[in-house]
Amino acid sequence: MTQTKMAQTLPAGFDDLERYVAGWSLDSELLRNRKRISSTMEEITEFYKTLIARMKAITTHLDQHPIDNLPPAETRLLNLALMFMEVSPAVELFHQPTVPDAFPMERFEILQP
Amino acid sequence: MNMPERFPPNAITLRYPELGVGPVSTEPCRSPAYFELEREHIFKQSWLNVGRDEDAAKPGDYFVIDIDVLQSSFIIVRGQDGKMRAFHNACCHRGNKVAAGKGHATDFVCGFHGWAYGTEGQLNHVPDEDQFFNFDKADYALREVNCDVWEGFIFINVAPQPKETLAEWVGEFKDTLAGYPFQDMYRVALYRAKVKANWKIIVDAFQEGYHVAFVHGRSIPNAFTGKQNPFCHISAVDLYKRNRRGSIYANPNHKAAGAEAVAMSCGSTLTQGTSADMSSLPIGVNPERKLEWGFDFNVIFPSFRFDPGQGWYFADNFWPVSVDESIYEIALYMPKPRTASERISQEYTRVLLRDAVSEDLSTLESCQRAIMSGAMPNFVLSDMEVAVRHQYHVVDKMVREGMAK
Repeated sequence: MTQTKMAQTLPAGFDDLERYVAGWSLDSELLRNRKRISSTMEEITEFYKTLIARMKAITTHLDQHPIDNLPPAETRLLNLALMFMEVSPAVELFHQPTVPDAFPMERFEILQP
Repeated sequence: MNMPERFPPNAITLRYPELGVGPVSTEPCRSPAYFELEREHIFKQSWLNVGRDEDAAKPGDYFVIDIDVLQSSFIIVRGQDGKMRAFHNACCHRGNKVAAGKGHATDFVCGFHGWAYGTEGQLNHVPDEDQFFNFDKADYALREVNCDVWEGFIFINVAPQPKETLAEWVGEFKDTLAGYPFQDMYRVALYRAKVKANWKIIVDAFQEGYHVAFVHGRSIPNAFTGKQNPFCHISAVDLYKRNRRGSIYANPNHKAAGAEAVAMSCGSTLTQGTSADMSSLPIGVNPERKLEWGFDFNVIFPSFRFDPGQGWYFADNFWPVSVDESIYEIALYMPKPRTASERISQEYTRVLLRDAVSEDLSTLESCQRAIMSGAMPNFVLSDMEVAVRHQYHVVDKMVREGMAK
């Protein structure tokens, strides 16, 4: 192991996603939406393209664990997958981070359900 | 000279002659005096949804809800006997609130002078009680308001003697929706926005499909519209005494792609259900048993809507604040995910619904401004906006009947 290698925070086999953990593995809808609307389209698109190619592997891996008892590494991976869903409309539908012509997000409260 | 009448084919509106087909006055959306009439004759007389059973699941669980149009705060609490009750959140001594937020309590203690109430409203303890004159604690229980539960939805009614029970108020829905698995779902999302628009303007935006091709042209480009139904015509419309319902079309040629395809492979989505088995749905959900079915909208007058689809429902409340301001709240409910992939699938629906709702709210403040300016004395409504027409009819009828008393 080299000294520059990042600490393993995701399950084995997902090293390629390690670089997203610090910024994109967020554990609430509010944080994920804030990340989306404060990122550039370049950042969002790069994340989206990487993740969509890995979603099948992610869901297959995570489903080996009971959902109510995911280990920390799997929880981080789940949060990346949820972040993929968060950014997907920006890439697929809106071509910008925010919803065009929408009610202003600063007046739209995302509450704890 | 009489112009020949040009009516839409098979008009739904004509089935309800009391609604007429002419323009509808916007006066009820801009007159402060009319708003006061609505407060007295509608909101203080109606059953209003304030939450779900799960919000106070166990004895002693409670939550507080402030309702501007009722000019009061309420405690909704499940008593030790298991019964759900509602009280004015006001100490009977000098009126201070006795609870805030939500949680679990064995008693509610006023922060002003320490009066303590039990979860069934009774006044249990008064510090320095001997200093009061001819005082009996039994005379000073928290002021109770009518509270009842239908299919897990908690309603309150502040009328001293409501003219109808909650079951009567829910009306046709009581039978047609019995059996929908409301109790098997949990709240996945909750959103709130203060919108500078009259409450009826906001309800209107959520009871027609005409806007879908335009307001949601980007977010939901072809799931609820398609070649067969480009303008999202609603069907199975039923207008009741006050409540109303309709079904929203789904495009069978809609193809899931990208994130939606990922979501579809692991569960139901907002845009397409997974289960073709409609036999398990109660008769009031997709009553036509159409395969081209997106979801239903159901409005319980005045200000509660719930929309069941396949594998989810969402529910919204439209809370008046003043004639030109309201608080809009929407919650999404889905089954508890059994797997992580199902959880990921549900996130797709949560995000898309949220983004689409932010589109729904986008037009309303400019509509309200135009109405307030006087430039819009009337609405002109199509047959597909018959639910909008019905709302103004019911509001007007209830206000008139209230004033006549």
